[in-house]
Amino acid sequence: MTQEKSRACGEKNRKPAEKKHQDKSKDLSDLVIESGARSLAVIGTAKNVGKTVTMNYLVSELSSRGMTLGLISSGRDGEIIDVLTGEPKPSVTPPAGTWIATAEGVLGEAAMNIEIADVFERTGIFGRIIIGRMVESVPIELVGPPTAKELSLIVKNLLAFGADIVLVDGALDRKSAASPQVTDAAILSTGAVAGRNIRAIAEEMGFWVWLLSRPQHDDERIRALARKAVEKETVCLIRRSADGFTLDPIPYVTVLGNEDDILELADDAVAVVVPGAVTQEFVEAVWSWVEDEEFCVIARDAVSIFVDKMPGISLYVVYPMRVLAATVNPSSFADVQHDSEELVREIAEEISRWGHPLPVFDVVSGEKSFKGVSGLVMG
Amino acid sequence: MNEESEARIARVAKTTRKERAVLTPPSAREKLGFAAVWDRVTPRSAMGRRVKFRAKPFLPGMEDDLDKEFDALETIVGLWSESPQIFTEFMGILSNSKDPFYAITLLNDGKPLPHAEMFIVAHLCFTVNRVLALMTDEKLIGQTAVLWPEKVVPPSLYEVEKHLLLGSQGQPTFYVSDGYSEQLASVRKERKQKEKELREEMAKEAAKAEELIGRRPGLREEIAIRRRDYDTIEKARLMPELAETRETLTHVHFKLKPTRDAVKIEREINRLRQKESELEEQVLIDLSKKVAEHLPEIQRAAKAIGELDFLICKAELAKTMNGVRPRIVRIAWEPHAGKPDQDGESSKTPVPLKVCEAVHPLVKEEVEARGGKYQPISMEVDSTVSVITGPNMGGKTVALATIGLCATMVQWGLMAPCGYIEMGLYDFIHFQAQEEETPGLSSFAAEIVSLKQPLSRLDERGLILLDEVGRGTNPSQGLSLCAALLSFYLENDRTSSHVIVTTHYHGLADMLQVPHWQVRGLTTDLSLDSPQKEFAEISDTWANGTDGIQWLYRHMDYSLQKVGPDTPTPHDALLIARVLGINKEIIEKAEFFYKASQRNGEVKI
Repeated sequence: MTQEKSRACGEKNRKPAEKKHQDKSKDLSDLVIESGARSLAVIGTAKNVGKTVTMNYLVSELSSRGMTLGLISSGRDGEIIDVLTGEPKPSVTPPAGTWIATAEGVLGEAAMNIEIADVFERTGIFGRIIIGRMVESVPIELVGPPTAKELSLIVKNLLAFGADIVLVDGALDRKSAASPQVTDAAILSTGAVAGRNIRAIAEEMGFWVWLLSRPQHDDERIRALARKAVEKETVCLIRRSADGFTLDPIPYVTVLGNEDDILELADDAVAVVVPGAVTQEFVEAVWSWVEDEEFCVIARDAVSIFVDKMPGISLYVVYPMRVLAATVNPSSFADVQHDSEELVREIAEEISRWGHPLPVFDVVSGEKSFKGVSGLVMG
Repeated sequence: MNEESEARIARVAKTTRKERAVLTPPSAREKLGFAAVWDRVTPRSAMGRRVKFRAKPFLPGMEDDLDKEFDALETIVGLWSESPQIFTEFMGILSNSKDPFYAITLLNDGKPLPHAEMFIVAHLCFTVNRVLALMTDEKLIGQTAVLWPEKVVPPSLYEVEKHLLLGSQGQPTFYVSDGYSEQLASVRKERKQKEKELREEMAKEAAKAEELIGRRPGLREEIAIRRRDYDTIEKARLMPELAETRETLTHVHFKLKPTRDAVKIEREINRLRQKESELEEQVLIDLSKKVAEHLPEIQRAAKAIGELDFLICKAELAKTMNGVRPRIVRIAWEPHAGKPDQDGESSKTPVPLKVCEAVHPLVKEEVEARGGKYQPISMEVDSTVSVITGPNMGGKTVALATIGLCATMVQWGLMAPCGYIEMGLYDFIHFQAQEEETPGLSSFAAEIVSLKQPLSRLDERGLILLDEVGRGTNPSQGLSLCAALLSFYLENDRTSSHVIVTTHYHGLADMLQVPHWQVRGLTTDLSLDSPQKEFAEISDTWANGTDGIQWLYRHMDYSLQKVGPDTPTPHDALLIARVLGINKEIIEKAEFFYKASQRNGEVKI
């Protein structure tokens, strides 16, 4: 599928949306509450895009509505001075009663204000991960475990301790926080640092939303086979057979370095299911090798797709991700300040042009856009 | 010298003795299969892993300790089959327990515990409570009073708990709550009051800003006003309550400016926070001192929980391997009391080694995985030297490893995978299996080098398992060497050691007049004289010779029987080679040579 084609899709999608608009008085926290998600990842498209601003906004809004929060990060975040750029960064100040999980090495003075309820045995670079309840509201730094498996375990623990909803701060290049294995839904954050101008930021965001919203395959039979395939943890082909489709596991665990060998076996297949990472090299190889327009690549989930531009092929996932909204931060540390209204509008238009309209918010100025968003998206 | 110090010296003596390897050569651990068995003992808690890590084999003189260990293990196994539920709960508690080792180290050094370690000690109290509650739960273990092994019953940590669990309800949590210090409580109260005052003070300002921008800003929030709202910006600039923070291309940013009173209150709050922080530090120091007073109980509790975990693992292993408790026979002669008597009389107290229906668990798993039926072996070793003979593929080496593994497991306090076992403890177990190629050493040289180890420990009681000694050189000299080695042991054994040797050499048992055990061997009418048709039937289904192996598995009786010393060694090598698919002509020629050599001892082609 070319970009032109997908834009055409976007045009089509926009029409019904005009009939039924989202209630425009809603803000981000309304969306989150209505979604019913028990765990929510906040993912930045780059460093310093204002993800923590979004986090803080959600923390104060959701807790002011009486919800008990759980907070964790998928990497290092919330430091007062950004460790990468040396620029000041907002820290997280959870209200009293919030459950948090962070490494003991970064707690410092804040340890006094936390009622410790669990200590994990595995030690990371900042020490063991501690789960506790904020007795008083003080700024803290969040450092979480690096792997999706541990992250998912701690999210479950926070919920078990009594959090109504767990917010996961996804760090730079740690999209794993948004994996459907870890969280129920995700919010995507971008900001002035993501591009030279509003156009570039919007295009980048459109691509990210497109990527993270990769759907399941339309055919129920192929969906079922793909689910089986990712459990096998080996690359599988789906071929057409007399009575539908069959699964053909091939002896490759990864597509890395095996692109040509896999595609040689794929001659008459309709899909290839990749349980690990789907790389740019692989989708390019598929694009140039396979002539059948129906042939598609199925990944485990959107966070295991590592492409940096829209591939000219059909891309599906086994476990789809729910992207609730996008947020933007019009100012960056380099003192670039875009017009909030224009930025929000441009991004909303670009996203719906890519075929996946989403509500867009600037949580600082309160600017928002529901362009192209129908009520159905929230379901 | 009091009793305690005597016991201590005895303990030290034991530890130095342990430094000599119990399993020799080092490869024996792997080759006997003990490494794999020991790996299956996987404690769930860090405390249990520590106990396992420190576990040492029981050596001669420690029979009472070993019997106590088996008493405990037997109690656990018994309780498990009576009330399995209790053990499911134990496993959950153990998996959730925390590692208190660092906290114990800090307390030992007299250092204060940080928050996380306080929590871990509190959690240990919680774990101890749950374990103790389960141990005495009448609903779970029935009305009969159960005597839990002493070492797994942790002391109550009530005295520690009462300090640590202030303010937490039911669940173990830790927080320096107001209850720890009145002074802290009053400082906190004062600080909170000041914070309230600050909020009230700032709320007045926020209310004024609300009039201007249409919503109430947060206390530390930046208010961004669009540049084209000139009026609002001008008004904001004129308001004493707002301070301009920065300007960008599109917006002007403001923040609430604290009033003079607010600044004063803020300064006061900072002072109180500092005071609070110092007081909290002090609470941790005082609390650590109180906890440290109970350090011995904490250590005992951690040890007991670890022992419980380790025992549960051993009981699990015993259950999966159908292990039995061994009968440990005391050795009348104490091998380390000094040099044994030269006349050798007092030292020759024979202690037999009896194993019935013994199983090598790893071989059994492999046999059953390929659909075969595993045959246990029985053997009674009552003489210094015993000889095992049997056909090729008859499992002589496995028999040797099975006996070695059972004895090793007993020495490490594990139930042995057999129907019955009776033994005295050994100082060392030497298992000389067929070595893999060692660079620079021929297999014969490697064997001889390895033999020096047991020979250098003649004053210790050993179980010496030799697999086909002398096979690496010419048969006549190999036999002579083997016979000489065994007769050396017969003459020089003062410690009731046991040497078991497998061999193909004919007449070795007869030559030395020692017990002779034989693998029952092939149970088939097939012989080299059988018609070609019968071999063809086996060979018809051959694929790469594996079907020949399957045929051997089915027709081999692996059990051991005691035979007369002069019973001939089975001569099935040619038949087995035939079954495994060597050309008929070669076998016929080999048979011709064999018969000729039997007649006149020489072969001429």
